[in-house]
Amino acid sequence: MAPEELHVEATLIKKAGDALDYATFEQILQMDDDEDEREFSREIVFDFFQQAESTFKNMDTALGERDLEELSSLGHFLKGSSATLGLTKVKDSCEKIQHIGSRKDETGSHDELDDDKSLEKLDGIIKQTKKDFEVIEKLMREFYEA
Amino acid sequence: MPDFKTRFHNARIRLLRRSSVAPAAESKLPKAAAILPQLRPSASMGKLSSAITTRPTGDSASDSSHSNLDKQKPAVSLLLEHELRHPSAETVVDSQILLPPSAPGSLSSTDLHARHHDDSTPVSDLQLSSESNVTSETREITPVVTLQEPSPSVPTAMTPTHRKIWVKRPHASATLVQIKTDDLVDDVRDMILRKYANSLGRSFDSPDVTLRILPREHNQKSQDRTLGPEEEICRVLDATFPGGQTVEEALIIDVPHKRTPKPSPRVASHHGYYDQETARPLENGGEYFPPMPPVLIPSPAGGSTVSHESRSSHPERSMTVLGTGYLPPLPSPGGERKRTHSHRPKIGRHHTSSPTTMAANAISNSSIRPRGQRHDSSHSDAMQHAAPATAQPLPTPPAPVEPVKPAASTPPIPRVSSPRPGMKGRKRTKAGKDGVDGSHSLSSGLLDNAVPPINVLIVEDNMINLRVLGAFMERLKVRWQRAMNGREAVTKWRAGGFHLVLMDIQLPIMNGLEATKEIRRLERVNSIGVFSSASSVAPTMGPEGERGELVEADRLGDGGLFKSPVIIVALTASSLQSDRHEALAAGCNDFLTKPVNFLWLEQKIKEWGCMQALIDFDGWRKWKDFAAQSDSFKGKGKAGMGRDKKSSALKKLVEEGAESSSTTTTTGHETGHDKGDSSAS
Repeated sequence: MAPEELHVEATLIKKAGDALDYATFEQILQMDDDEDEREFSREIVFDFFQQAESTFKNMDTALGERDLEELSSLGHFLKGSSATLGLTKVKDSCEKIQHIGSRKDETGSHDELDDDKSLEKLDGIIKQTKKDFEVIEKLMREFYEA
Repeated sequence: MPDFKTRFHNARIRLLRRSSVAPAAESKLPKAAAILPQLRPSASMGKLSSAITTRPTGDSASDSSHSNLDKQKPAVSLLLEHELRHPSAETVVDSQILLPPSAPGSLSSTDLHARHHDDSTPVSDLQLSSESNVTSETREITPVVTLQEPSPSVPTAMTPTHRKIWVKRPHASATLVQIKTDDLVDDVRDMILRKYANSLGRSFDSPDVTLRILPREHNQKSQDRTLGPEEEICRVLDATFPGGQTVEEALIIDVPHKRTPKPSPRVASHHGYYDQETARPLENGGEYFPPMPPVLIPSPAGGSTVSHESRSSHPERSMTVLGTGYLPPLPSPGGERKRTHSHRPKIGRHHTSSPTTMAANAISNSSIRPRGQRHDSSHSDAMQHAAPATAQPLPTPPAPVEPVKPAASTPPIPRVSSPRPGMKGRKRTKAGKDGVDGSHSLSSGLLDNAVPPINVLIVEDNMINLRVLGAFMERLKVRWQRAMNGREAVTKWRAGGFHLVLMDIQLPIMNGLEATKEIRRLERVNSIGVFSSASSVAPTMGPEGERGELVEADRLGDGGLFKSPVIIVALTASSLQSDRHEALAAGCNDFLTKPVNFLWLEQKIKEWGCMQALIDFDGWRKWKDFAAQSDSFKGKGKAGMGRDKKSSALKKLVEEGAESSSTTTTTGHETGHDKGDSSAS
């Protein structure tokens, strides 16, 4: 185990903080056959980036069309993969998108009947999700390029 | 005298029965029974009985000793003096001093209250309240009794000299405990609990404590020795440490592993039941620490103790035990997702010195602690709900044996420690990449290879998740196929041969719940999992009486491929309880919360696999044969081959083996191709 590699992992953990559940992400890393190449996890992570980008695009479209159901479904979709990678913040935001899209409050426990309110909330949360995503994306890229 | 003995015994039994101190209750009885005879011949007991027999009112020793005590003022002062040296008599003395000797009735009842808070307790219980106290109690009585009738043997007991001995908890600093020269190890335990009133006294009884003595010469053969409760401590110490015990030679106090689980929400919710019990101070609390307020541990009474105890510490094992008969080493996490944030061990990572050590710490921390604490696979509720769901009738005995392809090509390795995917495994992977052991070591860290040959259907619409789960299945060497939506899942399931379905709930086209319901419906109308005799006798089992009207479209193919109802595990990223209930109601056996904890998943797959092995014993035996065969193939495998190449070569070998010894290998081959496709995509 090269020391710089440890360093890379530690840096990721440190910088990501709350945004990353390293224990979960580590599960993915452990499926790599080669720790230098990190072929498997790299592919998964970078595919996730693509998936996220396109999902965000779809979210924007759905937001324009005031399609709450679609937003909820998109939120759920991205929630699943971000959870698998341990991207906690993205996952939590996606869950909120899912709940609000299904005409509930953020936590999914109360109904929200006013669509305008929901859409307004969604607009803010999607923006926040994108920001969270960009942060973790940058860190991940650093991690894999190191 | 026999009368006294009987009363002594009866009182003890009664007390022990009544004693409701949860953790100790089970262990106490046998121990007490074992200790009792040992106590009899001990010096102080012997003296007591001899003192009693000489008395005219020998029918009830304790009654008379108290009435005598009450009448005799000098006894009080003597007891007081005695108490100063030996504090274990506190209660007795306190009440006796506080109360005027002219009120004998109230004296004894107060005395009782202080100890038992129970009016009905016969006086004889007083001295016998717990086996750990018996010797010291009787010693208190002895001087009182002998005041009236001095016997030659007593003075030695009346003036025991005191000495202090060193004790310590493992890896802690030593402390002095005062004992009397004729104290038994059992007495010392009492004193230790008194000394460690907070750390030990709150959760342990003195019989739980064991003392180890470390002989001076630290060679291999004179290992430390656990002292029996009946040994005389001073004699042992003098024999072991001629010239006196030093601090370094402190006796080591051992207690059983944490037996009081941290209060969990579950335990808290039980408080309602316990209120009556907890309102009454615990007897032990009163005995060990008379002046202190009793420690309130929720302790169910009597027979329910064991079950409650086990439930509060392992709230979700019901299904595990049912399914496999063994308890998984992993305490299954609860369903609270929020805690994930606060529990991650970040502090440890940030504040260590150099980057290298920091990283090392970080890895070990992150790989050990969060795994134990993570709450993602929140199945605790599921397990309890799932139990009835799995209690479906067992399937018919296997008629045509399902072709079982050897899923594992490496021999079962006895698991050394936890199967957690750790750094070690990875390191070895790297090191052994070119060696023969490449694939072997790859799996050994994370998996032992005893994962039974089950066939898993992963239903996921998210490619990322699908690939991660698929890759994990590959590592477990479990056959798997995928379905991207509920419709496809049902179609694939109908082809037969699946043991386990990991079902995402929110899916396009047909969602996971609908797919689950459909599968369960088809199982029902095809009488899968119903004994064949039962199906003919009870033709209307389905709620709509579907049994009779099995539509041709619903008919499933080869019955041999549907030996039992498939186990469906809902995969959900939702933290909502309602979603879980919905999943279970739809017919899922269990659910997993994303992100899936791989360790947990692996254990579950093993459990389910074992269940299937029981159901399909012939198939399992075949698989074992294949596994053995593939070992010999493996031995011939070429060294220096890359892992992937090698494992595919192995797979081939194994499949050939399967072909030669099994008549139908279609399933295996199909799966193999499918697997290849999906991993390539």
